[in-house]
Amino acid sequence: MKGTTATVPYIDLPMGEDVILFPEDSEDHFPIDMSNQNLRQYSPFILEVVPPKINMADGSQHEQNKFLKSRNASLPFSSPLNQANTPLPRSRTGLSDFTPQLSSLAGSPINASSKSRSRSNLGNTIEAVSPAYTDTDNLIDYAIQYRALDTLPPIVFMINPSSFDVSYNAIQSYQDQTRYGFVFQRWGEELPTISISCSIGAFIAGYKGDKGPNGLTHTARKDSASFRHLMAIFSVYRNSAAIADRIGRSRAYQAVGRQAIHYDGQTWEGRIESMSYTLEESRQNGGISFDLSFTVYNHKFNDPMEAIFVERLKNLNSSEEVR
Amino acid sequence: MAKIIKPTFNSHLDEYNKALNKRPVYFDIIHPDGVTSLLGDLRLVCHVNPTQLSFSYQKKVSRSPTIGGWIETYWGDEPYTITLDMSTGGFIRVFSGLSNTTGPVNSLQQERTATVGMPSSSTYGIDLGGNRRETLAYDKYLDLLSLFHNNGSIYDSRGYVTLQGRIQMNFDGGQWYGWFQSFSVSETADSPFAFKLNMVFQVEREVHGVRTQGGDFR
Repeated sequence: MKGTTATVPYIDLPMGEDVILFPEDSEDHFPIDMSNQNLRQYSPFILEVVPPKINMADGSQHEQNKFLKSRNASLPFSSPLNQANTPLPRSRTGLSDFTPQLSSLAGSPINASSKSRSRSNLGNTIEAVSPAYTDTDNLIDYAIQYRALDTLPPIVFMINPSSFDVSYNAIQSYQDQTRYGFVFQRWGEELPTISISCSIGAFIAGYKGDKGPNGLTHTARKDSASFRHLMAIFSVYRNSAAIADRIGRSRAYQAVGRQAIHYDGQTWEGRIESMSYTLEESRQNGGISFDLSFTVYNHKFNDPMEAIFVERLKNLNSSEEVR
Repeated sequence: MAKIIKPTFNSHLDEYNKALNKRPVYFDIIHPDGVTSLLGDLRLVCHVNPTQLSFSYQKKVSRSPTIGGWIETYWGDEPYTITLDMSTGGFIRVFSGLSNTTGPVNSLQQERTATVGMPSSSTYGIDLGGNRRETLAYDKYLDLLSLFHNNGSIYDSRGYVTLQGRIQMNFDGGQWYGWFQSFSVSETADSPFAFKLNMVFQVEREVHGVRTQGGDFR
């Protein structure tokens, strides 16, 4: 299992106009990966993008209603105007599922039944789109971005983190003083946070030509597998699974998904809140460290941990067990 | 497994077995009445004792200057905490010894509908048929994490706290009642095959005996 050194699908993700990453390729340069594949095989560390649910707000409400209906439970906080048997007034199918949540400055609203009123040049795709929503260009760009996120390959860390700290904090108080002592109040827990410290490998790259960065050198930074890997992670952090308004160029995000970490039989869904890395003189040739801070929205143990007996490990070189 | 890889402590009763000469740190969940154990005879015994138990006490005093001098207002004691630094103990697995293998993971892509451009497999890593989660130390760590999440609360069906009990920490005859404030787990490259744990325990009250016989007053 190779670590992620590809950058193409990641740097193409929208990440605002403050950060511009662009392909700058040279056929003569090639990255060299010196990391140990076995370590990744035995303990893979994966960072994945989870695209926003289609119509996330309505969708999750629909799921909730479906669940409550299956239990014959009444809908919490339902309005008398919004009958429980039809929680979603609109039916959504096909491309019309891709609906921006926010309008933008781009173009005028479209009306599929009246093509003359639409300023979009994107032709017949408009027919596949519900006329109830904003302009076609936005809608199509939404679909393109969604598709990019949906098919984005997860990032396989080339080197596992050097530290992985999960922190849980209770929301409680034991500060209010009375004549007879302090009063304890408890409301639950904060969202867990994960602090991750990682290193990337050395800056090693090959060069096919006569003169150019070759081997372990600081000038091989851009070409090295390790720095490409870092840029892939940076792109995922910067994009943050958000669908941006690329047409209107506003900073209003139309939908925001999540990121997920898969490790140790567990999945943490949430968001990378911060990222930092330092290029320093003492590590000119690579091996630089970077830190991620991740807030957890959902934590799942995928391993049922139901094994009653501990089995022998498999021998990877044969079908027999290790003796 | 327990017969092959023995834990440090058999149970919380080790404390009372003079032949063993052991003092385990163990936890209990106390009913909202403040007295009754909710666990019956069961106790959560730490797989290994904390490396550090830090007690920090603080007085609650306010002082304000006046023209004639200082006024001290004495309110008693601030609520205090115990910080527990501990290790999970080594992840020692039968058939493989110390293990840091975490096993394969699945990405969430298999749950989505899009197929074009997806990797052919959503599984990453190799299944060796075992991992570090199949160890006593990892199991005990998860128990401790569960105890933190419970924190003596009694929840209703929607997950809201309805009644609040307490956690009781026991060590060497002493009892500390209170609640966990935070729990952090750290996996670092400089201490492989184990996690470092840090817990902050908010103390409501503590009860422990002190030897009184003998002594010298001079």
